[in-house]
Amino acid sequence: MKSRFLEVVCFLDAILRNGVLIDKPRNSNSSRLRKLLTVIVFCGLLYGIAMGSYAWLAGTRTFHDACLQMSYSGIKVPMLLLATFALTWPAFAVISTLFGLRDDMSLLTGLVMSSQATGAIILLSFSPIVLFTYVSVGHSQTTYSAAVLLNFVFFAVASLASHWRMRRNIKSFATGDHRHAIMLWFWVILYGFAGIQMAWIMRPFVGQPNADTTFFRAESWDNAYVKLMEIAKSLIFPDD
Amino acid sequence: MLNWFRQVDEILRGEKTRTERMDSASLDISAGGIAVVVVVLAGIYGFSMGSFALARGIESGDTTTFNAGWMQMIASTVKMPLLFMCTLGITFPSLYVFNALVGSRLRLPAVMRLLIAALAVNVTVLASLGPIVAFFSVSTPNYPFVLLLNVAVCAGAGFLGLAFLLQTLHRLSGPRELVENAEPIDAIARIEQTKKGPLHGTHEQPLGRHVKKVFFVWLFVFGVVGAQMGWVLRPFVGSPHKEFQWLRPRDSNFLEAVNNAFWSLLS
Repeated sequence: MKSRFLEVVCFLDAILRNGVLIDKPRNSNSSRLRKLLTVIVFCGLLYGIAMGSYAWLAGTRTFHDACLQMSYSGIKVPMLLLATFALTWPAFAVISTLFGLRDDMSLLTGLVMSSQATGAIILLSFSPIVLFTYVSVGHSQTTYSAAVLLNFVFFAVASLASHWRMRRNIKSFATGDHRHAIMLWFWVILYGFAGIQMAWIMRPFVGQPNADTTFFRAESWDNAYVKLMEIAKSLIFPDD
Repeated sequence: MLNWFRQVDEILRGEKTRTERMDSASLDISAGGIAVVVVVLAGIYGFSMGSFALARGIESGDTTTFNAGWMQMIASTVKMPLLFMCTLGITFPSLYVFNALVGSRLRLPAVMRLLIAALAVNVTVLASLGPIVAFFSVSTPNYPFVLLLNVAVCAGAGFLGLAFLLQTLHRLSGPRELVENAEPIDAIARIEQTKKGPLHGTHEQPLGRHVKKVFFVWLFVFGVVGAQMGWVLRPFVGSPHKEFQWLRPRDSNFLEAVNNAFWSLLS
């Protein structure tokens, strides 16, 4: 049991250092991809459960009542990561091919999966802070908004850090060829663009304690960017 | 059919556009077969575009009906391939004539194959972005946003299609003797060459005057006719506030509509 646990920890450590997929990038890596997928699901699930525990830890619901939101959030975080990956991968594959990188497709796919797994591990590492914050602040409308903002910041930090890690690793094998770096930037922009909207329609992740627990909000089907523009407009032109 | 898709894959990988594979100043592809693939892939993108109408419904008299949404989806799936093939059909004679006028050595079948290949690149990129467009269409009630997203996606795919066209035209029009008399290249250099995609320029030779002329005239003619054809064949997305129509009455133009959508999104 102990050795199994150590094996998992070593594997997660290897992803963070990106020993995974980089040692022998051109070899068949389907089993490694499966492992990365497991890491994304596992870490996403745990972070999602932590995210959804706000109502319980802030003291407005019993554990039993909060379980539903925790389960929903636990399912939705890996769903968010994987659904966004599935949506954006076809365009990534076609445009990589156009740039002459088809032979490196398995490597690039491994890199972006590895980056997602890195992001999921970083998120998981933030979950004790999330739990501590929920416990320590209690509930009010302001603290609920702060909890949502905190999770948003953690997602942003995890995404940026995993991208930074990916860019550092790509330099080790793509010296002089900037196409890989360009494609990974393209991936980040495309993934971010679709991911923000995906997160918007999948909300709530934290769960408003005073509202009924639902998998999706009734008013979920809306556009995140249009909402952002409306908020920006109301801030710039408050009298409109 | 599978063989035609394989040919499109080879075009995307740049295998069909390597200089050593274009000895007869033409692409080694089946124009008819690739045209079928273009129709299928454009249909997939049209389907993604039409999903907005299906998700939102379309006004039909006093009520919003999903039957009209289905009709819009079918219409978009049919009209998207029509847009590309009709634009090619209408512009091809003038494109070929101008190509011959400026002294290009591309013959009629070669021009047709080249244009079909460029369209294949364009629609493959479009179809690959189809899932993202469909996702935004289903999850966004804001019509101007979806309209502008489609314009941006089409512009991005069009840009890549044009980059392919320019580089392939450059390779096809380059002096053959350079290739024929070239020093044999070693195995490593050959592997490096095969890793270059179809958008990769041949830095050894600058773009020729003929290539530039032909390309910019093609760009202008195809662009203008394509934009107008898109306008004539509208609606593709389907406004939820207008009744379903296969074709809208002829008024206004494409640029004015994009401008209106932009300001309506900001207002």
